[in-house]
Amino acid sequence: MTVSNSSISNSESDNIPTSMLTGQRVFVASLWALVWLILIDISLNIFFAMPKSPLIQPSKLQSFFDYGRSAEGKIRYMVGRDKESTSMVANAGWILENEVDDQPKMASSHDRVLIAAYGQSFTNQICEALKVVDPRFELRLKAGPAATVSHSYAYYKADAKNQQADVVVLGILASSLIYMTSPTTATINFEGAAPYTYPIYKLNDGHISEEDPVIHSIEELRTAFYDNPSLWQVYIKMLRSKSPTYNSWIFEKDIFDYSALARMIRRSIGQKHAHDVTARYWNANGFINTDGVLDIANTLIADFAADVRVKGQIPYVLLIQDKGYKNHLALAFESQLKQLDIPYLSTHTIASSTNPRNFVSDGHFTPEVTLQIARAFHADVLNKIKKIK
Amino acid sequence: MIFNSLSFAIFLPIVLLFYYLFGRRYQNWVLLIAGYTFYGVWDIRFLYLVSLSTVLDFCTGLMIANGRMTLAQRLAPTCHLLGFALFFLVPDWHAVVFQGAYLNNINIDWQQLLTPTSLGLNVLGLSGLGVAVANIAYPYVLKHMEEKTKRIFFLRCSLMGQLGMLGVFKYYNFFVAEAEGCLKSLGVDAPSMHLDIILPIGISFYTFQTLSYVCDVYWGKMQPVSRLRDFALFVSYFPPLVAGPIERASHLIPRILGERRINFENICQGAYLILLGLVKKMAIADGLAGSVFSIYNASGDVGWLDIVTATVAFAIQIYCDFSGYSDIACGVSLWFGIELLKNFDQPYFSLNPSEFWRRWHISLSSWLRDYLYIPLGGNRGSEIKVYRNLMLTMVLGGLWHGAAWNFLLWGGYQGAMLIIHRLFVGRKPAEFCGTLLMRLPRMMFFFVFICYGWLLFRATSFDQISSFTQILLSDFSNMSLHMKIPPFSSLLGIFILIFVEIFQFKRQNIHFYTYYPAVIHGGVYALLIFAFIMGLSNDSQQFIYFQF
Repeated sequence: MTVSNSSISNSESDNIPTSMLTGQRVFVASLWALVWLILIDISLNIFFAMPKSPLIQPSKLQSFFDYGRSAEGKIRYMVGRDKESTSMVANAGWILENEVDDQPKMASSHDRVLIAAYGQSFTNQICEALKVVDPRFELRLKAGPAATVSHSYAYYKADAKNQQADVVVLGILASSLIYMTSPTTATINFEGAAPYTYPIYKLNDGHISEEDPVIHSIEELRTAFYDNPSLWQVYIKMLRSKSPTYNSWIFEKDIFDYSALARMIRRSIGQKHAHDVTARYWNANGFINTDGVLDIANTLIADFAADVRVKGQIPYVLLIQDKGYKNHLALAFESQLKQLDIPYLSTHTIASSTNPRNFVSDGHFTPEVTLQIARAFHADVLNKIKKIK
Repeated sequence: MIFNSLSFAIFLPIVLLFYYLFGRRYQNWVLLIAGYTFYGVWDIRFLYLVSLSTVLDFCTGLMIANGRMTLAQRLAPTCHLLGFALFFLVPDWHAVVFQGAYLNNINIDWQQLLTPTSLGLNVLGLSGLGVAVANIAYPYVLKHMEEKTKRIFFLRCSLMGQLGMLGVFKYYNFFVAEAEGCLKSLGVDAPSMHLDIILPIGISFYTFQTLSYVCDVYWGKMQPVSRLRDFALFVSYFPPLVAGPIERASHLIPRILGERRINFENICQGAYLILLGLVKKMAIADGLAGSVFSIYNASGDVGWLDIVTATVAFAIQIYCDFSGYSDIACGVSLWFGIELLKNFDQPYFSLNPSEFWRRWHISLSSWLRDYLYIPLGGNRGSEIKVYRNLMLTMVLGGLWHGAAWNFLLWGGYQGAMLIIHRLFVGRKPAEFCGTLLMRLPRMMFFFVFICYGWLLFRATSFDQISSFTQILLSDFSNMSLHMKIPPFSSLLGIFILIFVEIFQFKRQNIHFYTYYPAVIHGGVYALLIFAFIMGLSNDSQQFIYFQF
């Protein structure tokens, strides 16, 4: 008999005893398949359950089987009843006007330069590398996980009165740009859902208006989860009505969260959703001005630069082109940046976003590339400021 | 529409519903409409090429075998071709735009949708002219051409027409670019003759399928098909349409014309094949694609270990991608009661190149054997002639995959392996009869050579082939691994696939699980479903063989 891989010839199927292919046998086998699937599901939930405390780092497999949990389920897991039982990620990124921290407000001496940067981990890493390149630089870093330009802008606005930095940096990450259509990154980036919120900006006759995100701090979120559930419902209602990227299937907690297999199915739906949403705002040729996102971002950048200049500070825009985005941020913003003479640096000119070797496995630049970018940033900043030349 | 898409998951049940609802009489109509829909979704204009291929070989087949056609047999292709030329003329689907978060808002620009393009008008005009000339010339051909001349004339018409279409769409730009390059190197500034055309999906598959029909009719191996709609279904039967198996007319046409057996066994076996194919494609191949890409498409330095792991990953990827497609096609076809040709037979269990080509892409290798290698002389004649035939067949087989030098090189490499193997073992090598464990060292040894072939196949340039080969042979200093680690779904899928293939090999039956108790039988289903669910999250990739 020949080995059959792709089809069964008559002679081969005749060789299978008919008793083995009866409906009854297939029915019993299917029931067994169901039993096995239930056992697999239960085993995964037991052996790869997320740690009881969100403060404990999960293993890779634990994270893998939890990626498909709803965004709400993930956020609820992160936020405990008090600060001590709440994960670090849940505390990150909230925009607070009078935030108490130990970051410098102005340069410690006249031969030092304070950089105030508003962005995300990419921006932070580049700025930290800048300090390595030149220790005369001091840093005030305000960031959110995978934060978008509207978050960075709002954070700058809230923090502006608290700092007298020499250079104010707005870090724009290519893969995060589309998050500005929602008050939370979790409606698209549901695998890495972070709870922090920010305003949705809109353009009305050339003027910026903002939609309030309803929940403004981790304390308010905790209240919404544990004391005042109606607040969470108001938040969901706002997302449904204001965010074009909201999908209740992947965002809202439901029975699927309790099954490992169902979570994996939800993960695939979430990825499809993210692909579909991304395709509306970006394609292989660059960003698309759907819902006016590019107009809004350009307006935010112009407003940021004008505001910084009024205070006598130097505005600086970091265009961070992460993996696969080529020079698309430059294509979207360069002409305005040049027109308004806003200093900027596009990372694609230093590290190609299409070379996978420039990135580590989590998508960030390698330390060597970060250092190269920081050196270019350093050279450019030195040209702009006079006091430490 | 691809097999692992939501649109196909909606399309297939609808087709099955109509197929089972209608009686045998109308089932072929359902399959024909389904085939044209399946293909037309990519680009409706390319249906014209399918139609041209269908009409050409339907007519030439009848003229070769019978020397004449009835009025109805002439009228049907005339209407068919002109009808499909109208498709080329009118619809421009870019005029239909989906908007809104849930694609619930459709905007149609009717003017754009229904405005004829100049290319469409040319195609319609030329089709009308062609049909008119053919019908006017028909009585002359009938009256003045001798039977033997007629047979050869129409065979040539078919070969020139089919290979001409393939040549224009697949090879023209390649050869023109190479010729321009040569002229430029000689200092001659030739004007660019590059055509702005895209390769129609599956053209190599359906062209070879129809060529097999004309050749078989010419050689008297089969009777021609007398009704256009039956022949059209043979060409456009959707499961194997875009990536094989390359069906033989002598195999598929009797199944289209004859009675079909749809029973519980077929449905269960079909379901298993579909599930296995989806696991191979979505869990394994799609997951490995990123890892292979991270080395073969990287612009930085790569080391020995990178090349070895990425090439082994590609060997698994291409097997799972292509055999996965074939499994799904065969499974879907079983649901229609039509068995397709076997396309893969556990190729990596091969011990030598000759065995490999009896197990890998069987429908292509057997096509090349029957319609190229044997007509060239096959094993007859001197050893030198046999080597020439082997080399020519494999180089052309390489070229079938695409117009690029690395495919030619790959074909040459396969031809060289076959020749060397023949040199060592003679005309009739003895089959190895040992156990799987005894086969293993020889399998592993030959797998190294298969993998080097895949390096030639996957490489993006000659420079890459050269530098990778150099590193593989001499640079063992860089053993760091930069390849992107495959996702869990791929690793688990490979693990499951190894067990499935071992048991399949031992039982010599893809449905090996039926020999075991229900608890194990069900366990196999469950493991595959689990791997499939895990694979749902991998980035969906185009089937590799679609480009051929």
